[in-house]
Amino acid sequence: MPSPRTAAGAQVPVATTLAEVVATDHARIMAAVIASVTDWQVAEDAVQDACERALTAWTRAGVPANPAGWLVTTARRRGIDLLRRAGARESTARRYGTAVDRGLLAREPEHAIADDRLRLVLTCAHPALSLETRVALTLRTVLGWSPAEIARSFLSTEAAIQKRLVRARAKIAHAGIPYRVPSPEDLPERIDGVLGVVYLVFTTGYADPGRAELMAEAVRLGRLVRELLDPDAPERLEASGLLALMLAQQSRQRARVGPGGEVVLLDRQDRSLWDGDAIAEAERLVHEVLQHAAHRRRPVGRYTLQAAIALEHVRPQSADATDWRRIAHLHGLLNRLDDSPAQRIAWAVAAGRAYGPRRGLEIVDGVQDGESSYLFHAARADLLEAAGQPADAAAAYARAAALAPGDAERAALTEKQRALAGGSAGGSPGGGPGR
Amino acid sequence: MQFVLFVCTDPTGEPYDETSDDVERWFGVLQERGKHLAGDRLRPVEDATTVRVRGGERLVTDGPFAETREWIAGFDLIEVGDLDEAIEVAAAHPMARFGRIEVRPVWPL
Repeated sequence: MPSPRTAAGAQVPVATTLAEVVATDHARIMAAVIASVTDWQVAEDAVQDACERALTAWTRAGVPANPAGWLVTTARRRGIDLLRRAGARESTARRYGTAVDRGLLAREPEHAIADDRLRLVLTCAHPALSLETRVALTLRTVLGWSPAEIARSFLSTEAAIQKRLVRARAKIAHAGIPYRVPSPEDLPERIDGVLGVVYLVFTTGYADPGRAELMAEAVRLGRLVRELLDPDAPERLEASGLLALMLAQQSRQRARVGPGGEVVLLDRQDRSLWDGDAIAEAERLVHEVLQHAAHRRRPVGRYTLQAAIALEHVRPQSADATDWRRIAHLHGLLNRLDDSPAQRIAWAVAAGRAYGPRRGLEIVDGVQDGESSYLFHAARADLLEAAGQPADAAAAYARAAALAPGDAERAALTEKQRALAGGSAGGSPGGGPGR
Repeated sequence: MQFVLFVCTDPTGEPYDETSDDVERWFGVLQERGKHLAGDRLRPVEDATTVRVRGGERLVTDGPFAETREWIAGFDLIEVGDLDEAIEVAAAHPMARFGRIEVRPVWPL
């Protein structure tokens, strides 16, 4: 997906090589250049410039043995040059601010390109930046997406994304956001912020079949973050859990989306289309996390629990063989970490399947401010219907239909309401609104 | 780097509790991280005066510029290494719980 701009007239193989280097090594290159020049905007401009120079230089003299190293060295020189010139002109000195003022022009030996990607990833997801900015900066800096690509995937314009990125780099410089890995006490919280960015990229792709490529990129990013963390560190567990969750959800992608782009519900999906390798990898990861957590007496985090739940849905050969008791148990654990309405509703649905609609109703009635949520009323309606209370179920379906966000949801709920109002008092086995 | 911490009231803050208003502890955290350059409480908004000059004419009015339920109750000018340290210092301030702290980097001329 990421591609550097290709200069017209450049020979195709060189441009292709460059694109590949940028796609695989963007994080490494940016991390090393920022370490030398400190200012993110200077680093960005210098790497862009190095990529343009690479097209000419590599066409003339051949692709160097270590193309990423060549780009880092060239960009560092260019960056230092930019900073010197900025120092000479006061107006630009302000823009490029701190690095010149504070004399932080650290010169690292050129052969030593340390792996600085962890601090790069952490700084892109710094809590002093807005969530949208963290996402855009991570996609640009870590994965090497162009502003135009980010704009397409996040329904924005290239100019708006470009502006957001420039502002973010300025804030890093002016607000004093450090380029470093925080102390071990602060690291878990900061890694949680990084994982939040990764999962937001994933869910954006999951929610819209037209932007499904975001899922693969989120998985790539999730792998990178996990790889950069110490295998024994507690924060690595949730990085593994998130990777497993994304793999488990993505494994159903081919079966989840029908020919017209419509979403196919889980129990109607063609299971032969599921990605068995992704499921197996997710199973291994969850197993590893649970073992590690049990062994070290560490708590299991919410991504791991969600991954375990997702795997319970994909493991059985048919939807009927689903182990609802295990799913309800996992949801109960998840609820202790996250009592958001969506989580509690999903727990109620699972508990309803596992232990009967009464238990589900008890749980769903504990949803905070559920009155304004269509999912709350829809789940309640299903449970009431299963509990043999058709009149109450019909009323709940009506309330859900009135709050439904889309025509398709509204029509389905109204139909259920009419079926109940039509008179049959017999409770049918209730189903949940799950996908 | 120098930062000003604006100590603000905030309607979402925890109720004030004198026993946990331990500015001494905050001062300890700050001393570990950097330096306290200046700071104090500010008199309430009732004692504020706003001054404007428009078209060469001086306009003096009673109260703050904008009427809000949240106001600046104090300030601290600190010197620390970077934003993460400033955040750590701000988070240790008792008013981070009872109100909120706005962290602003100083922009030297």
